[in-house]
Amino acid sequence: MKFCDLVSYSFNAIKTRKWRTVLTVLGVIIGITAIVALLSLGQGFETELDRQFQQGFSTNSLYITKKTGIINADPTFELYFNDTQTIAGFENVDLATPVLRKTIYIVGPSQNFTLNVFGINFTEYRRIFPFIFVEEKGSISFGSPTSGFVIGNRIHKPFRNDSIYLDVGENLTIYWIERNGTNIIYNNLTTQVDAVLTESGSFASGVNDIGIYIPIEMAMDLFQTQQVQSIIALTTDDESATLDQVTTQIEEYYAEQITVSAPQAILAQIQSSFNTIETFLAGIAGISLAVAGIGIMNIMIVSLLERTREIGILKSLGTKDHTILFIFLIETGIIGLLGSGIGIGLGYGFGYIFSFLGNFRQASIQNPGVGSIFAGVRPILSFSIVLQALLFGVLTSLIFGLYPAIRAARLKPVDALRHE
Amino acid sequence: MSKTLILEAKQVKRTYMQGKIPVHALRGVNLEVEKGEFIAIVGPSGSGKSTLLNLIGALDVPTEGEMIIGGKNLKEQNRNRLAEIRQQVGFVFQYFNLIPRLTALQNVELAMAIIGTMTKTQRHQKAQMILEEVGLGDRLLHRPSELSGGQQQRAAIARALAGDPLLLLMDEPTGNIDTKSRDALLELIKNLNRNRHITIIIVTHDSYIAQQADRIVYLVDGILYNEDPTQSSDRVFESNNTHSKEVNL
Repeated sequence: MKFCDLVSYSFNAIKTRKWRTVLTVLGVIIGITAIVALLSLGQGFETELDRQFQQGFSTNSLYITKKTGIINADPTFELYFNDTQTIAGFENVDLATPVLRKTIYIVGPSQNFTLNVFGINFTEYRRIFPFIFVEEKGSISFGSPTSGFVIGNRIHKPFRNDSIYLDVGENLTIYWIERNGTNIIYNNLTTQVDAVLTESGSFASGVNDIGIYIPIEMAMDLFQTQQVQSIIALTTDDESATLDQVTTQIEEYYAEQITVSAPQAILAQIQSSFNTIETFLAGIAGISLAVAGIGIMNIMIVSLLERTREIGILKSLGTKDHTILFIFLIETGIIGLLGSGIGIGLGYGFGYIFSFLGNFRQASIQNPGVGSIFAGVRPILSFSIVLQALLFGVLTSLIFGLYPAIRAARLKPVDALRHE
Repeated sequence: MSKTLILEAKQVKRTYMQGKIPVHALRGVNLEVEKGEFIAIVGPSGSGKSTLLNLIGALDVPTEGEMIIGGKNLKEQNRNRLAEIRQQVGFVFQYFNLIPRLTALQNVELAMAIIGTMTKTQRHQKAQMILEEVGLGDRLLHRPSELSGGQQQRAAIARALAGDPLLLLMDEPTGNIDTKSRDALLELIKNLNRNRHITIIIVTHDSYIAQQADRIVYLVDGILYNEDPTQSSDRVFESNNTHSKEVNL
C-alpha cells in the first residue's frame, strides 16, 4: 500500500470516530500548551534578562560588598568611602566608584513607599552604565554640584501608562531615620527633581527604576556617614584571568570579609537556577503529556478491539503486517500532530496572557514579588520550540500508539476474521 | 495442451489444539484445481470446510502436507509472502466482510490499493468497471448498510475480482441471500467462469448450486472424496485409513 493511501485510509478511520478523536487530541493539546507556554515564556525571560544584563553591566566590572552570612562574616565590618581609593590603587583596576545606599520613605497618594537613595559619583557611574544611567527628561548635572534628585523611571511613571506621578522640576520630600547613640532621629529633605532616568528593567541592578540618585558627597553629608554599601570596580580588561586576579587581590586585602562578584557570574547563576525551575515545570507539563499518551494508548486498544474484524478483512485482502502497523501509527501520529499544532498556538497565547498578568501586577511604584520577574517579558516562540513541541507531541503519541499497533499487526488473519 | 494447476493440495492435514485436546480438522486432503475450472466443495457442517477454505485462501497454513497455490508452497512462505499470495486469491466470505464505513466503490478500490500497483485514477476506473459488471453500477456510493444482502455479495465479488485473482473462492454464497438473488448470482458466476475464464471454487451445502459446477468434491470428516461417501462406499480420495479410527471431535 502506498503511503498516501495509508494516510487517507487512516484519516477516514479517524473521521468515523470524531468525538473520541477530539477528546484524545484534547489530552495532547493540554500537555503541549503547558509545555509551550512555559518554554516560550522562559525564552522571553532569558532574552530579556540577557538584554538587561548587556545594558546594565560592563563585562569588566566587579561588585564589592561586605560579606554577609552567619559563620564567617564579621557583622561589625563595614566598607568606607576611602576604600574606593585603596581599591582603585590595585593592579589592573582602572576605576573604583562607591555606592552609598540609604533606605528612605516617600509619602504617596494613598500609602507610604519604602525606596532607596543612592549616593554615587555621577560621572563615574555614567562610565560604568553608559546605556542606563541616562536621563529621559531633565538633565543629570555631571561635574557641577547639585542638590536635586535624579529619579528612576518608575517613580516618574509608576502605572505603566502615560499618567505621571512625579515630574522634573517638582519637589519631592524624603523621610529617613538616624541613630544618635541610643536615640532615634527623624529627618526629612525636600528638594526638586533634576532628571528622570530611562527605564532599565528589573535585572539591571546598576540602575534601579525605583531608585533616587544623588551625588555621593551630598549623601555622606545628608546621612552623616562614611559607610558605603558597595564599590564597583572596572578592571583593565574582561579576561577571566584578570577578573580572578583582581578578585583574589581584593579578597586577601580585606581578610575575606568582603564578597567580590562578577555580573557575568551572577547572570550565569540566575540563568542556571532559572533553568532548574524551568526544567522542573516542564517536567510537570511532561507528565500531563504522558497522561495524554496513556489516553492515546487506551483509545487505540479500544479501537483495536473494535476493528479486529476490519484488520482481518485487510489481511485477507493481502495487507502486510507492517502496513497494518503503519495504519495504526499514522492514526496516532495524526492525533499527535493535531494536538501539538493546536497546543503550540494555545501555549503561545497563554504565554502572552501570563506576561500581561505579570505586568498588571506590577502597576504600582513598588513591585511586590513575582510580578516584577515578568516585567517587560514577552513570550518568544522560536523555531526550535515549535520543532521540539511538535516532535515531543508526535513522538509521545507514536510511542504510546506502538503497543496497540504491534498487537494489531501480529493478529492472525483467521482469528481476526472470526472476531465478532 | 498441458494443464495449468492453480491449486494443488497434497496430503494436507490441519490440526488445532482445543485446550490440550488436538482436533484433526483436515486429515489428509488431496486436491488439484486447473485454471478455468469451476469446482464445488460440498460437505456437512463440521466436516472441515472452513479450515480447507482458510488454507486455500492462504489465511492459514497446513500442519502437515503441502498446499501449493499458483506454484507457491504455503509452508515455505513467511508472513509477508503469505500476504502476497492472499492478494492473488479472491475470497468472497459468507458474511461478505465489507468494511462498513467505506462505500462499495471504496471497498473495491481498497483491494487494489493494498496491491499498490495502480494509480488512484486507474483504481477508480477499474473499480467502477467491475462494479458495473457485477450489476452494481447504480450503487457505487452506497455503504454496505445501504445495500441488500445480494448487493453486498456482488460488492464482495467485485472486491475479490479487483486484483485479477488466480482463483475466486466463495464461502456459502447462497447462505445469506434470497432465491431470486441466488439465480442472478449463479448467472454471474457462470459468466465469470465462461467468459473471463476465472477459476472458481465454491464451498456450499446447497446441492442446487453445486450441481452447476464442472466438478463436485465431497468433504466428510476432514477427508475429500470425488463422490458422495454417504451415497457410496467407494473412497477414492481417502489416503490414510489410520485416521478413520480416531474420534472426530
